[in-house]
Amino acid sequence: MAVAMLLVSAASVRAFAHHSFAMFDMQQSLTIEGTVKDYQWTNPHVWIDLLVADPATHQPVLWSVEANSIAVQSRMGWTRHSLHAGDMTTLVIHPLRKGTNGGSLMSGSVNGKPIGNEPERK
Amino acid sequence: MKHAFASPSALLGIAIAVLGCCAGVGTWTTSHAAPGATPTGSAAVPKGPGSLSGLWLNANYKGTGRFPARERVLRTSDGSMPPLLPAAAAVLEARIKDADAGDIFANTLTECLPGGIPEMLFGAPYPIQILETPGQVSMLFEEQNHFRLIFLKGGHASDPDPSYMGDAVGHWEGDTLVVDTIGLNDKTTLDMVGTPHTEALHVVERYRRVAQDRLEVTVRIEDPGTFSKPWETKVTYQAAPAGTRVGEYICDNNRNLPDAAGHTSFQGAQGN
Repeated sequence: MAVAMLLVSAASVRAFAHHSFAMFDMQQSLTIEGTVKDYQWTNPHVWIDLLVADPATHQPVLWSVEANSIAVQSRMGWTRHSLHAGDMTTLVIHPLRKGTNGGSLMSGSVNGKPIGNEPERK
Repeated sequence: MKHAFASPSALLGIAIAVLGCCAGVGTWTTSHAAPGATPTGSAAVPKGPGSLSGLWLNANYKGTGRFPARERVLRTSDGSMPPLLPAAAAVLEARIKDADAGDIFANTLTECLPGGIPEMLFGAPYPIQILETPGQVSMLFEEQNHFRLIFLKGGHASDPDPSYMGDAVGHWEGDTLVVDTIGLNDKTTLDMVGTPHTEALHVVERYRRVAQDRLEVTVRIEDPGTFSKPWETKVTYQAAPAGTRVGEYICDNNRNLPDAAGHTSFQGAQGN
């Protein structure tokens, strides 16, 4: 599993309403790369559970990434087929403020190809 | 696991630049399309009955994570804090303090229950479809697929049961639809931050089509159990892009249910 954790300096303007996203650090962006364990095309939110190698131990660690509702994610060009269990993917997220392994989705890509029609917010 | 982030100040600067450019409702920010089949271009702006039907988005939506909790409190039309009585102010201040610490008050939406009136008029980045039919105006909220019915004939029910959407009746005054709502339960809050209210809440909305792509809505809020006097706020609805449809939004995988403290959870696959 090729894994990288990089900092990017983009910020996104995502629209959520089911709950407040103050739990995420919206000023921080983190890139995680790993293997999809589960892609949940569901409401109120789409979720991606991703196995990411810990840079210190190289052991896979499970991250959970929360996206928009199905309707909003669809308007951004995502579909229920965008990811599958076992896919390698790179996700850019706003990490949880409390520092555990999770975040809100900003963008995703597979093999360098952006998922959807809004790969990254300007 | 420790991550090396860039300096917060650098990121903040970038964030401000980005937000300055794009604040609004994501992909819809720059749209000026007319709602549904409404004519566009130089055609006269529709007025009065029939002029509200269409798909609309809150043009003033502030998001839920980009602004501090205090800024997301439902404000008066001039941007002031509402005239809260001391007990209600104390409840709100506690919720703001918690939110600033990352412990977010879990309002009814967190459980996929309606945000109620008036919260649902302001709170969502999702389309609202207004349908005018004889004797009735219906509002279809994409947000968790709730709906609201406003009856144009007859007055309020006598002693209505407290409910999420309340007992709503409406009538036209010239080109303005006036909607009067009572019978609201006290389970909801006026905003996602958690401004409380009582069952005495009385909401009067005034809807007016002001442009091909705009509705202006003023909302008068009266609740002697929460506020020292009635106050007014406003919202502008922007036409959703042509072709927008209200999507299904049925919660069947809610990983953000309230925790024991009444705060919004994040149920990671590892229990994180």
